[in-house]
Amino acid sequence: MSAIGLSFVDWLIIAIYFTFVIGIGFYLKKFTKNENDFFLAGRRNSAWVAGIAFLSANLGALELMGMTGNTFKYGMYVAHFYWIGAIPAMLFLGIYMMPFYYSSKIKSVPGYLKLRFDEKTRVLNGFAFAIMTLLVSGINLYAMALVLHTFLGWNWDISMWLAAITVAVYVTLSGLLSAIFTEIIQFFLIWFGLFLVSIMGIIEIGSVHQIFARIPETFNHLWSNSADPTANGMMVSWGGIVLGLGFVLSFGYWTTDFLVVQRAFSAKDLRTARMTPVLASFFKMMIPFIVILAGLIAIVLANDPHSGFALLKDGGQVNYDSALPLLIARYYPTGLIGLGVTALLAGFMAGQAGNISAFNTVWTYDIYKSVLNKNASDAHLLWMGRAATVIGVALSLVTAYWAKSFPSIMDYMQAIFSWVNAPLFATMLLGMFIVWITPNGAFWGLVAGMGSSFTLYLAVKFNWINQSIITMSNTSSVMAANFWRAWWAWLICFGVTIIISLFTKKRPKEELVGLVKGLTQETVTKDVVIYRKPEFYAIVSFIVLIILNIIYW
Amino acid sequence: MKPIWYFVGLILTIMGGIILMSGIYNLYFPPESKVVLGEKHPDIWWGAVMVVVGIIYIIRNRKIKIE
Repeated sequence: MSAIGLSFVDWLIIAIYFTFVIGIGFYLKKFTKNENDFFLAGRRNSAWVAGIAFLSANLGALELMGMTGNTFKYGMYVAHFYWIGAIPAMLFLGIYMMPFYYSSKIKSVPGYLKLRFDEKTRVLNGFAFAIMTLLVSGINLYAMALVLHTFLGWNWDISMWLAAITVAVYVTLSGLLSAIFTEIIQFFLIWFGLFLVSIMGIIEIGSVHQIFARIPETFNHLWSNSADPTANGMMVSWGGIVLGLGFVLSFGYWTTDFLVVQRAFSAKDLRTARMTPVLASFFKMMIPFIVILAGLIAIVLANDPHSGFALLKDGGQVNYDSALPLLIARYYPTGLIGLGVTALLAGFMAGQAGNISAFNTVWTYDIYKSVLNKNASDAHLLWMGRAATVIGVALSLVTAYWAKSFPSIMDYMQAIFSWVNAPLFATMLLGMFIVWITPNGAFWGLVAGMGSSFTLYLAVKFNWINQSIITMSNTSSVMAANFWRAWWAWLICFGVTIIISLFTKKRPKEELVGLVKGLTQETVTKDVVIYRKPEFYAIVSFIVLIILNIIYW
Repeated sequence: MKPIWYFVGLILTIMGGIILMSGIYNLYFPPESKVVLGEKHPDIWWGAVMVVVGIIYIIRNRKIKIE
């Protein structure tokens, strides 16, 4: 790899960003007076603030370098992650699930499992989520180190430690409040810092039509080449996309992952909380105009021998995640290159801060208070939240070195989600919508789902079984295996939960009021005008989703 | 406290202003190493857009305080 030089102006912009986010941490500290402020940002946010934070918490390394790199690797198919792989789940969360989450006044998703089922299910999910969050947090550090290494020539260790310490400082000072503030700043910096790459790419190549005309046929469709896995870049059929990504992985992530759901918990009332993911869905649909378009531009340039564009290589292996940084270096002059680097750094730091703020909440409430110190005072919990932030950042550093060994960030991410989120979605779905699901059914279903997913991952990795058994196809990619493994994990959890529930003791219905559909009062207020109802915006969002899929069919 | 939108305006104005000024400097004193499409001067017009958006956010939120 080679370093790209930055001028004084670029350094100045990067320094302003670091100063700004740490300054915000100190500014907000005086408004962080109790545990409610630290863990739930005082529950006073508007739909715009919560909605953008909801999206931005997910807009870290995964969305920027990972997805641009994956577009280079898999083509237009990656847009499925933003459209069918996100929007239906976000709308489902806002319309159907949020009333149960928000109205029960829980502080975390495992907290709902405690109310709906029992303590052991909560602790199991709390531990699984805490471990997953630290693994994902490590990715953010790794991706940030890649940017600093590529642009500045810094060594990996210094890059990771600098990022980790900055996040630790501002999250420790004011918790979710500063995490949300920096996530919104990050959202604007990403649009201003990275959308220009797409604009410049279109100007250089000629038009969007020219870009699509100059990439391989297998790379430029969403659905029309999905019947045959060998006819598309990702080597996965429509079945894997719909069942694995669109249903299990997407719903598992967007409806149960506390990292994103926590932002909706910070909303000022139920209507605002329901609007949070609905509003975020519009922004989510726009992100491909940054990352997918940039990935397609990179393909066109790499295929043109006169362009002088080629991805970096690490030890002979193509580094797909270098696509976006190299495009920034190609188009951005002095000053703008500092903004581009800052946008990437902001994405990684906000992504990591999101993970750490979710980790400190789950650790404090669902593990520490639930298992280790049931009588802890509010002041002690606030202290524990701050201590968990520092420890969580330190553990993220360890996982960052593991993430470095994966050829593509996104493959690593989806592997993790298929272990934890996919089965949890089955538990949540059954728990919220079926009254007779029992605590033992939920617990053992979750154990079976997570255990089977992890076992299948190991079985393929160490060649105990052939990947084609999971994907039901002789041709498949690592990503296809992730989609299908998620589907099997969900199905196993779903089946085991139902079977065990049939034979174990049910909870009395009166204990489940407000937690299960059918025992909960409908929350739709009839006196609200139609254009203020979350349902109205959800329908508009869904129509836009259909139109986008038809345009790029 | 000040709303988040005020801080958004602040950082866009500061960064956009620096990029705009850097673009104007590069216009009169072109750098030795050129970037692709550098002749379009994206730093000037993109920096100006950031400044305009940033100032709008600052003006709209400068008197607002949230509890």
